[in-house]
Amino acid sequence: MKKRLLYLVLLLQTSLLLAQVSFTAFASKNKLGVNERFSLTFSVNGSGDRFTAPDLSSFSILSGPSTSSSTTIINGKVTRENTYTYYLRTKKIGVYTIGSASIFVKGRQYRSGNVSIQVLKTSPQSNSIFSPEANARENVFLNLELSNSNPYVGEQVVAKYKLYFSQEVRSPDLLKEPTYTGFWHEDYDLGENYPIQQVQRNGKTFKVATLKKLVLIPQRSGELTLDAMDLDVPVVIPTNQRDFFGRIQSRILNIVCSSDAKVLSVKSLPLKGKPANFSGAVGDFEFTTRLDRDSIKTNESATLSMRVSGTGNLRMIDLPSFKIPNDLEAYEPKFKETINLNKAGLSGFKRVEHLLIPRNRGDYKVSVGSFNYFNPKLKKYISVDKPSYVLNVEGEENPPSTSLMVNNITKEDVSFIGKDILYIKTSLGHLQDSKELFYGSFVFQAFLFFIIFVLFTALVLAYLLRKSMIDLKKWRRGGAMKQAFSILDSVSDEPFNIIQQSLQLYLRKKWGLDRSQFDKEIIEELLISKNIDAALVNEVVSILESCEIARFTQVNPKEGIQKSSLLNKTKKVIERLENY
Amino acid sequence: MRLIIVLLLFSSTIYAENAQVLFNQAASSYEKQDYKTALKFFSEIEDADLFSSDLYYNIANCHYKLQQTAEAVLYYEKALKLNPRDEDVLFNLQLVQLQLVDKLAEVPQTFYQKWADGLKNLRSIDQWAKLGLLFSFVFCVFFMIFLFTNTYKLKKNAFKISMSVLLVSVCSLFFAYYSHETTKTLAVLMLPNTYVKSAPSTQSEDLFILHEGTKVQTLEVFNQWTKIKLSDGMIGWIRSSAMQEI
Repeated sequence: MKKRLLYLVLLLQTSLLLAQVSFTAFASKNKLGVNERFSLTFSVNGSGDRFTAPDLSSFSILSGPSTSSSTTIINGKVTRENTYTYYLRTKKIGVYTIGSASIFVKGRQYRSGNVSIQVLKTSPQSNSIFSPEANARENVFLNLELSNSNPYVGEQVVAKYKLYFSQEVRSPDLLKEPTYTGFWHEDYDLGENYPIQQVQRNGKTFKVATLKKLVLIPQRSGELTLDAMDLDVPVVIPTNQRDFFGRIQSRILNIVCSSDAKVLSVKSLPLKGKPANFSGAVGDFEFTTRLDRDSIKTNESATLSMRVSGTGNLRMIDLPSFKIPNDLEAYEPKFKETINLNKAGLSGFKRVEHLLIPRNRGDYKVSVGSFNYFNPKLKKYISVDKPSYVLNVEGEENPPSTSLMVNNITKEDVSFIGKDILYIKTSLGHLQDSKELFYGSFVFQAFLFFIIFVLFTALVLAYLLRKSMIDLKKWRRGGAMKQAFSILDSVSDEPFNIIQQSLQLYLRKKWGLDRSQFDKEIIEELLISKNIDAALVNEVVSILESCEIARFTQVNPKEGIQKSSLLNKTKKVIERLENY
Repeated sequence: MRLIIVLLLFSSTIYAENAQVLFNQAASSYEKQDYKTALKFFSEIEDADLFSSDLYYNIANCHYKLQQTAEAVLYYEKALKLNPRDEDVLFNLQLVQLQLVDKLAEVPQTFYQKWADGLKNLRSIDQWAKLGLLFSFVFCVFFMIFLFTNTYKLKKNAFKISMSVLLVSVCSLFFAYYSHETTKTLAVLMLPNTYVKSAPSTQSEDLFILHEGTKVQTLEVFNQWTKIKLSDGMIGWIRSSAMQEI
């Protein structure tokens, strides 16, 4: 009503101020709530050009500028009017001033006045309880439903934005999409038509339409906030007026519905029992592996596959990898995944397929390792171990008796491709009948030992021989006296020494004594112990003494008389000793 | 056919004369490309505990023709042990080794190792051993002459000769020892593939895979496991049943 009235006034004004150019700015509302629409109109009488709009960045422009022109002819006077209209929506609370726009009319620039807009938290019209807007607000509201407001990291949460209404509404516009900071999210495809259900709420029947449904997967622990979603809902409000046919006329009131911001407190996964190689999978899964053949021939193929299926953050998990030995040629694995959104959230499967072609014979182990995941319902980690497969590879069958050529040569620097081995030996060669090597055998050892023994014996013999060379020569002739005498007879150069020696030799030989024991005193004792009379003992001692004196003093060593008398004396003594 | 049966019946009492008969049979079968029969005859000679380098070589050839690479390698190596210089064996072994799966790098040898190996391979272990004993006997004789003669000139010459003969004798015995030490611990893997483990148990970690025909050095035996060393220096444990000593 107001608008129309204003238009009327404007119209009147323009007709009054005929010749004067006027350029005015006009807002449909000056006081309004957040996210409320209004129109901003700039009108000029006369045909203007080069219209420059003011800065409208404080508002979101829904449409515009749309231009319209009207021509009025009154009493032959032609009046033109041009309008530039913007449809704007408020964004934030505050007082804004829209600056002046400018336009050129017949080469002259005109400026419009400023327009002040006050944006309140709620629309001022809704303050009155009985206003249709307030009524509509009570009957139409948006609600966010979460399947779980205290999930684990990685656990999926289904969020539903539901519009409750008990008044007729038209299809709403999304004003502000909530941001999902800290979440991975995926929207459900709800189709074109929203299914509408009826529910009772606070004793009132509401129709409910799920406008948006999505899966949220928290990526980190802590308090994560889901912002509000804002909707512009056109509400049909019946008026008191009736149309020509008597039907109640209705008008459309746009109201903004916001869902409440919700805070999810996300729990981090428990550390207790967390596997070292945790895959990051959270949900309820099934892990299967398969090798399609156990036994295979070389150069044939086998398929090794692994599949994880279930409900959970399937898109975010990595499958464990197979350990495939190098002998099995593995081609690039084929990945396949089918993931759907259903009531519980993401579900489906992921599959990896390896094509294996063995090149060599043998038994090869293909191990998988384990797949682990966290089950939020059971609140524990679950590890699925799969035993390793053994692929038995047999060689290709070859006819056994054909002239086989060297094939499958892969080494480099091969100088004789295609050559055959040399022919067998035509003679039996030197046959041996014992696997025992001669080396290390008993005969070998015995022979070696024998040689060593012979050598040793010879050495010992030679040593002894050399040591007693003199003895051997001189004693070969027989009795002790004879020998002693013969030595004494041969005395020439060193008589006393020889005399002493021969006497000692005699004594030693006679009583079998050690040479080292031969002192004068020891001999004396010995002779006494042998019951030899004292005169004889004294004589022996005196001979030895005089020999020693003669040797050490060098007193006339070659004196013949002393020498011969001592010699004779010695001979006599020995002769007498011989009787004992 | 009848002959075969007769031979089989008396196979336990084969002597050198029979061996020659068997050998001729085998050779004619081989010529007719009937390698299976040839192998059977050759093996009978071997089963009677009669063997020679040439017999091993022929057996290896039969195995090769039957595409039994591991056995072929084993018998060529056996033949080489008896006669390290046989060129036919060396040639065929080289050819068979081309077909082996495992390509192992040889640890480079120093020049004196090469010389020693070259000298060592001139004779088999037993030949070296016999040579060594012979020379040590000769040494003994000359040394005794040296010891017990009184003639100065003879003594001097006998000493010179005995010392040089001793050197030759010690060298021969050393080669016999060296050759024995290097070959007694060699084995050939017989299974198509063998997992080499880090420890002598089934639960231990798999280190790498070896294939048939690969020659390994055995270091240590524990229960049913053997510690092996490859020519490129890698070490691990395998089941003793997976290999056969040369």
